Amino acid sequence: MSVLPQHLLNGLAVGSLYALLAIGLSLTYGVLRIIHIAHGGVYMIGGMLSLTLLATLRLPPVLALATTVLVCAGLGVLFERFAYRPLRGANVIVTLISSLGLLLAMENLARIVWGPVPHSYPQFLPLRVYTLGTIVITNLQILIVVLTIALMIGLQWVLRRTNLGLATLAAVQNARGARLVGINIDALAVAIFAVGSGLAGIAGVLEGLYITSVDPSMGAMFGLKAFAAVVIGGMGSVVGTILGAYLIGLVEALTAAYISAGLRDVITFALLVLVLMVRPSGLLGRRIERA
Amino acid sequence: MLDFLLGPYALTLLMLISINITLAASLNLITGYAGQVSIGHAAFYAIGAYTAAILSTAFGWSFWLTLPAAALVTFASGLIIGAPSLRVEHDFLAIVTLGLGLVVQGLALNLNITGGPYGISGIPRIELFGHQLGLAGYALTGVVLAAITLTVVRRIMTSRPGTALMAVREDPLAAEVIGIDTARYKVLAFAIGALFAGAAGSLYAHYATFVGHDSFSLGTSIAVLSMVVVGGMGTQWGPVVGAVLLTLIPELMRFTAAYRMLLYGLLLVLMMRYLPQGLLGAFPARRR
Amino acid sequence: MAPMLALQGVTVQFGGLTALSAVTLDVPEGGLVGLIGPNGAGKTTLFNTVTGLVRPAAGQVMFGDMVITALRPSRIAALGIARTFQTPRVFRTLTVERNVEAGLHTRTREGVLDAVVGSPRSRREHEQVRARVNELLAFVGLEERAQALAGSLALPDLRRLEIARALAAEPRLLLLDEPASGMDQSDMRAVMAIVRKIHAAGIALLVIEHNMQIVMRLAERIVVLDLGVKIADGTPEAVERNASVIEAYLGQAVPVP
Repeated sequence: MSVLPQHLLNGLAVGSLYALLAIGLSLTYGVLRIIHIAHGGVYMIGGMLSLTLLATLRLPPVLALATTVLVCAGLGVLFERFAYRPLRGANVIVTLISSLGLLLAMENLARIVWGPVPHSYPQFLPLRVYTLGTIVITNLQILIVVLTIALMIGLQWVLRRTNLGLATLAAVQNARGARLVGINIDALAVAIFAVGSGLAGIAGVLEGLYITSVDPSMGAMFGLKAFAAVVIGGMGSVVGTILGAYLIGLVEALTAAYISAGLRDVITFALLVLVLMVRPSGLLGRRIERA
Repeated sequence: MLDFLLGPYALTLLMLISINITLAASLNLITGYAGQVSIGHAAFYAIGAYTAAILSTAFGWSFWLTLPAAALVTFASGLIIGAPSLRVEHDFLAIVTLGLGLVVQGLALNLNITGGPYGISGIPRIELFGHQLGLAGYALTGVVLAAITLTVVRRIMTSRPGTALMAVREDPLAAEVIGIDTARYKVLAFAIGALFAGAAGSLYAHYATFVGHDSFSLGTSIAVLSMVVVGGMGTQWGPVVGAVLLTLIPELMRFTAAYRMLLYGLLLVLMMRYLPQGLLGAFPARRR
Repeated sequence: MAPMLALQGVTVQFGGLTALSAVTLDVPEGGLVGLIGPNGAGKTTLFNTVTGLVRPAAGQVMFGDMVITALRPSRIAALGIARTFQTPRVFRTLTVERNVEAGLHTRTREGVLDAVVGSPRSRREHEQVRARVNELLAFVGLEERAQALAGSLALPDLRRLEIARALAAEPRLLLLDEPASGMDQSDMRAVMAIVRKIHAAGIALLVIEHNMQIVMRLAERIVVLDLGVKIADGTPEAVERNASVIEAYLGQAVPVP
């Protein structure tokens, strides 16, 4: 069934998952100038851990989800505290290598714990399929899109209405200035990593449900593409990030449908390179002042 | 003669280390000296290897012809792939080069000329005076290639173009204002670095007699960058130390691959925390 | 005779802000012109425009009989315009010597191939570069620090190094951005002595300086900018008496008489 609206819908669902991951990346780069490649690993841990909680320990889904979010948030805070904070102010390459090290460590730890092969993911939501003319929508797709949009609206509210959120936005604008007016960057960093990593955990669970399987190598490429979304949308712009995520989701769905599924990643990264060549600070980004 | 001193395992390791030194030293020119972060160096390695594979299997060229041809092709692709460094902000260049690396790997997997998922097999081994090279011959060729790369990089870095490259790394605006065409030198660094990665790719293709897309993954790019950083960016011997250590350590760890890579990852994290300048770090990790 | 450097109606805008508004100014061959004005007058913007870092919205910059408005900074440098920065921008992890060597870039030709094969040109130039670097370091009084890392120098030495690096290109015009700011009396005097030596060597100078006393004694002619507009241009004596200059400065703080 190769109708365009159907592919757009699929792209919207995948784009939502990218958005959940991209937000954390956008904030960590925006505030702390960290290219947090290991974020994809946190997302993978979210998928794998919830698998164990659901399938082996047979926890109720809500409890499993809550535990997963908490563990992922804790993991993010741990990374911030012990891997990134000591490197603050260092060359980007140094934090980047450290982040790649974390990703490698997580991925291979997961291979040791869960084995390298994909596991089928418990489908705790009974699947419902709705047809709208020629379009097929599942309740899961609706859940993914609605939940993501709700979370993004919530995040926007936090950013615009709370002190912590305003401090975050101020730091994105001007990290040095934020420090001068007394914003505690350490506390802010912990908050950003906790929230971003918690969202990554949610994305891991949703991906498990959507793709129906999880495996230790699911994080690396997914995280990279989420980062591509951030860069395409424009660093330091939350709206741009979400836009970039949906753009990538749609482009991937269309590439898979009309060109070749094998070229999906190629096209995504070609898009990234192209956008940056034309607009070096992304679609909605402004040039970021260097601290 | 080398056969008597070293067994086949040691010779294979020597060969791999030499290729890694070549890759690390050439990336060091781009990232360490010229300051252009690249996580896509495997792309040049891949382009060189596939060029050699295609020219030797389809046109019957020998290694002695595919080597310069691969170097030339990668030099040209370095000029193209280096172009984003002119537009993109420093931090994003890492992501763009990473993206370009994935694009090259993805093309290798999807194009017909590269054999798609099957790769290209049946690449002839290296012949010298009518004799096929043994393991010792390959190891020696590798050592010579690494030595040439190191010498060329050192000569460039102790001369006018080298001064210009480091000026571009330190302060592109000040470099431009004293008359250094920063665009030209950034792209030149990419092209020269690419040339040697391409040469290494050709050697690898004729050694393995097979090339497939998964030999040139993001993992390869990360490994090479790690060698440069762990050894010490912008130092003469850093890439050698980094390449030797990061090739040997996983080899010598008699664990399964997963345990090895877990430790490798943790090693990188600890290394960056306690020794961010690398083992031979000459220039301090800059505060910005 | 045509002036060496001529700005003709140069206007520079940043967003909605006009940093320079139709500024016309010239520097004669071998002249020494002071550029003064309150903070935010557009002095550094003027330097950035001349050296190609900023594109003017209107007007043009002539160097000799060449229009240099649209040229890349490195091209402009190669034509013979050098500059320093208010906060010195040296190559911090390179040695003092290597910094000056970088300044010789436009005066040497050695390419990558020369360097790799060790060509006769390469060997000849290496000799020349060594001699020239020593000469320049001696000129600014930094020969003792030749092997030090530039990042380890104190401000007065950073200024000397930046001047040596700029002079290495054998410019016909040198732009100095507050060469004496942040220094004590003796360092200030030393830098001014260097500036006089440069002037005596026939190199034209355009100098931004905050310290009125210094600039009045140093410059042959003074140009005053205020809020991006040229409000005076003449001999130090004439500028000192100029009513709008006094007003511009009184609007701010009173300058040192």
